[in-house]
Amino acid sequence: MKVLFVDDEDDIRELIEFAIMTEEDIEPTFAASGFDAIATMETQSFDVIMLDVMMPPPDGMEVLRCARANADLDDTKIVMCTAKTSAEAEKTFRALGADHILHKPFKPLKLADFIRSIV
Amino acid sequence: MVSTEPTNKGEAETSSRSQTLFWGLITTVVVMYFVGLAFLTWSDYNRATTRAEVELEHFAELYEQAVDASLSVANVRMWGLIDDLSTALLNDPDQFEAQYGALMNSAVQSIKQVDALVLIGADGVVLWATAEPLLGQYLGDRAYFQAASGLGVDEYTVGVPIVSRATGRRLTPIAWPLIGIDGKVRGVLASSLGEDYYSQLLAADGLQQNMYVEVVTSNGERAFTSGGEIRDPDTPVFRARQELPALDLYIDVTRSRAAVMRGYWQRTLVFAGLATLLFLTVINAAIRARRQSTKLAQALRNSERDRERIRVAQSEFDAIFENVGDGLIVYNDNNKLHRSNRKARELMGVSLDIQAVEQLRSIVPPFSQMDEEVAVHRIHVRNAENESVAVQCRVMKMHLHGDYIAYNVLQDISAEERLVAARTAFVTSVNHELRTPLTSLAGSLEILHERFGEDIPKNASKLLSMATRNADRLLVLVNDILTLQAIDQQQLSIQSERVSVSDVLSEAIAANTGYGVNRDVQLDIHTALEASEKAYVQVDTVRMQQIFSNLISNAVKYTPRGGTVKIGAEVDDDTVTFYVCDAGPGIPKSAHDRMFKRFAEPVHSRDNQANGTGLGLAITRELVLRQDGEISFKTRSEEDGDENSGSTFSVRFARDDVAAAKQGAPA
Repeated sequence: MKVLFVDDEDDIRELIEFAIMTEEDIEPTFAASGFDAIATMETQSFDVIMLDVMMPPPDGMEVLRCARANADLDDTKIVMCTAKTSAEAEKTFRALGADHILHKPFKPLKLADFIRSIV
Repeated sequence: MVSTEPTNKGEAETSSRSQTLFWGLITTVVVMYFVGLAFLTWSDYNRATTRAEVELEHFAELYEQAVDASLSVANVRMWGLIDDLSTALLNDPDQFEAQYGALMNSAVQSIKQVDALVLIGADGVVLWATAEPLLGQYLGDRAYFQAASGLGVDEYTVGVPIVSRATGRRLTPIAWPLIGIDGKVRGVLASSLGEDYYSQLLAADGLQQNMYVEVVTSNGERAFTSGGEIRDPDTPVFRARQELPALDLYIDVTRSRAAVMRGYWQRTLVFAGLATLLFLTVINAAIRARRQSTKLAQALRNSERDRERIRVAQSEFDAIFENVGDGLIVYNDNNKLHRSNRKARELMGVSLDIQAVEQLRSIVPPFSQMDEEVAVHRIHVRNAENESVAVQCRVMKMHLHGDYIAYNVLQDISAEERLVAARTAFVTSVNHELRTPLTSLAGSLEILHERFGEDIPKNASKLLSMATRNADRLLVLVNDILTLQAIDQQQLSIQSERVSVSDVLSEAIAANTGYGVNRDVQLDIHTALEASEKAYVQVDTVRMQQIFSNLISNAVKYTPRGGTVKIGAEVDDDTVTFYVCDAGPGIPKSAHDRMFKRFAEPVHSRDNQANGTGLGLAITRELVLRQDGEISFKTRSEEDGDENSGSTFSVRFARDDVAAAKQGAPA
């Protein structure tokens, strides 16, 4: 399955790459910014998008809006990765079309299991 | 208030001066009144005495004229009679009687002044008399006879008054000479003026009461005295004397001074009494009026002073009200009362009281829904610069003078809110900045351990696990702080779902086995499986994991190596109680109170104390409470001298079996 990981932190992207390197069923694509993510979404389709919320603008919310405006991504599961634990924020994400919320920090080695569980 | 003191003094001086003036005036008036009264009395007295004297004189004169006129009439008649007798023979009484008896009698009858008549011959012998016994008697030695004998035509004489021997009455002899043609005296006609005569005349003149009339001779002998009683000669009297030339007598009219003045005194007394009564009434009225006016003036001054005091207090209050640091808005239901102070108007961004009140009324609940308890509202208002200001409004309905008023205290809490927001933003950003590198760090260490653990030398492996452990610890701390912040902001998300007790327990064990393995402590589930599979609770599984993670990590930390931590659930009809039981040193009683407090002082000494954030139990308690559960603990403490030490933390939730019955068998 195709998974897009969006995170502005190079280390996090590298860590994820390391963690799922061994998972053969997951084909990862990485985007280093909101712009990058939006551009990538225009040309490719994904089964899952893992979206970091806290990024320099456009942030995760913006990207989420764009993704949900794109009819090609209707079947794509979008997971918001956030350090925010507030109920309000979660409500907002779900209202904008997020399917799941993954609280940071997450264990990289458990990521693959999580992705499989939601697809 | 200080400024009114001198005024008071001045007022007092003015008052005492006017008091003195008033009493001076009253005294003067009283003195003048009595002087006037005395003068009036005195002049009236003079007038009264003068009048009494004039009256007496007048009366005497009148009487004299009456007597005089009466005598003149009598004389004319007598002289007529004497003319008739001019030719009569006077030597034989019988013949005279026969010839002139009738004439004589008729004369006595007709001349009312004369009630008795005696004809005395020239020889002094009585020739004819109205009183028989006198006939033939010799009266030649009588003074009136001798006096009359020397008189001429148309003359008469009056004698000294005598007391009649026969009747005892006072008589005044009067005698006329009987002169013949030859001019010689042939006899004397004598009569007397009796007291009746004077009395009759007196009655005609109108004798007044207390008036005494005496007819006396020049040497003081009395011919007539009116009135019966004899007056004490020393009695002071008014007296008038009139000469009676025809008779050579004097008329003395006297009146007792006391009697005359009695009227005067009565009049004067009545007059003076009435006048004094009137005067005193007037004076009394004046004094009363003065007192009233003084009192009134005092009351006026007092009320003026009170008004001044009230005014001062009012302005003091106004100044305080206006300048108090909090905004104050007061109004009542019908808006008759509407007041606000400067701060309130500033907060509301208006310039008038009524605007502030109206604006506030549109924000806070209506008047009828307020009660007398203080209600706190957080409101946002726009100030004059159109900025949104966070305001805390404490509303109170107060009973004041039979009316209810709404009393509002407004506090600008925007600064406070900004502070809170800044703190939150700070904590959030610090956490984010910490978490991102921590995630990378913990993640890489984990991958390193998993993927390359076997290639790492044994000594290096120790360092790796130390790094992993501390990265985890940092993550827990950051997570705890974030969770607490969410709790404080009422932002903790709880997503309850229906799960079986056995699932909760097995997940708890699975997620936390790591703690035990690291410390060589065994985790044991102590629950009848069948019961825990049938019992359900309504909880957030993620939060339940957090709860167990905290409780189990604590239990493992305090349990000695090789020991066992018992984890289980007790199920009864209504509730499910999860417990985590350790064989640690227990919690001394002195620490019980602070067990669930944040950053509480460590319970155990440094040696025995496990590393921790000091937040675990505080967060656990909040998580339990937010899911409508209860948390408690039982402990036996070494420190308190108990044997078989250890602690058991229990978390209790309500069973959710009703839903289970509805949904049928659990999946």
